Amino acid sequence: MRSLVDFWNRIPLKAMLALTIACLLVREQYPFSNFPMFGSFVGQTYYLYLADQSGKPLPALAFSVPTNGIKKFYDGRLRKLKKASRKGEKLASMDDRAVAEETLRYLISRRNKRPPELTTIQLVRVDISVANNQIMKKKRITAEIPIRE
Amino acid sequence: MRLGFAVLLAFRLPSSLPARQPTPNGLAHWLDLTWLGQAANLEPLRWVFFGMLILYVSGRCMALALPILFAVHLGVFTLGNSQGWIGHTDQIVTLILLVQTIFHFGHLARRSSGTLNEHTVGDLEIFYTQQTIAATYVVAALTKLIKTGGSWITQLPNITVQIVKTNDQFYYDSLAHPNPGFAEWLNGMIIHHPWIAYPLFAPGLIIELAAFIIVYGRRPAIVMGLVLVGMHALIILVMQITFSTNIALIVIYLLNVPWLLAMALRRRTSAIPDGGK
Repeated sequence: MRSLVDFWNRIPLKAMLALTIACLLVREQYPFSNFPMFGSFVGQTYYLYLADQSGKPLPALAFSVPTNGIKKFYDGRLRKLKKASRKGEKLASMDDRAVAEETLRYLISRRNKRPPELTTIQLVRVDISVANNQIMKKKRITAEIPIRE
Repeated sequence: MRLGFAVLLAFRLPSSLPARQPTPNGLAHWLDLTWLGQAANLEPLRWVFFGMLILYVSGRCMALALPILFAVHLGVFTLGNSQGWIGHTDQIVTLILLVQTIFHFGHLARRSSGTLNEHTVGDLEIFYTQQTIAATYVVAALTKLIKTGGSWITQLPNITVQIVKTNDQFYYDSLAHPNPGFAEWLNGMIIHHPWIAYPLFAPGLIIELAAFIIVYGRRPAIVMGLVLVGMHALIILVMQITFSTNIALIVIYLLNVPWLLAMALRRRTSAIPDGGK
């Protein structure tokens, strides 16, 4: 025990070392995090934004969630669904739509007041890739749901 | 430094929270924290927090102030991160409060056992806080290496799609800020000359890995603090991502503005010849 204490006392930057190990092991459990932002880069990605019934964009912060928060919520639900599905089974587009609708319902529940002209809310997915030395963007509506009083 | 940190803590504490935890995270796996989201509970708790901040700044009753500050901060931000998506702004702050709390209790124990070393409490508090800041950057760098099997740098030319994503996301947050021309121009350059991505972004990984240098004295802390601020400035410019909490902590604990001012003042007064009295 004594030698263990001596060993610990000889380690420089103990707090930094302990926190580094804890963050890498515990990962995303607050207040610990492995800070995975931009941890890897592949040639394609996507984001989500909100639009009204005519396709006009809506500011995400009006729903108290930033656009990257919407993607994280959507991704998290998709991951959960994939985990729950049988191994090797691909998610159907219906599942994808169900997750998108769940995301929209969550966002609506975060907004207290809604402008009277807003009757339907859309979740638009924009896929980004590079082809022929150019950035390519492909948009599609993943879900739309009416807003009830 | 305590005053600067207290101001940051006061500004970051939310005035409202959702009273639900649909996707529990951290402590919320075991505890129901939804009561923190009710205004009738959160409002008085905020005032307790502000009261503890006054004690913290004055350096009195730290054994009372720090655990309360840590517990409130942990509870509030755990609930905030239990909404289905995780942000990465406040972990560093809660970790600093955790480390400072452990340090102060350790200090109390050493004082009572008579094994206190010659360092002042303030110096050690800053030393451990700097270690916490360094740890978050080192972890971010190690995660990059672990996730990519060491090939993070070789993947850098693919950053172009991320630049487009983050700039577009920034626009769709409020619809108020159109995409800056600089990011678009830079993206075009990287697509046509992918090698540009290496000298531009690879140093970021090295800076994060070398962040532990900040604990080796005032000058290394200031130099590394400036380098980190420069890195964050580049991220803001290119990707529209502002780690304002990190920048504030660097200014408070690494750049040590009061010390820099004192040094500048001392140099100025020593430069005035005696005859000038």
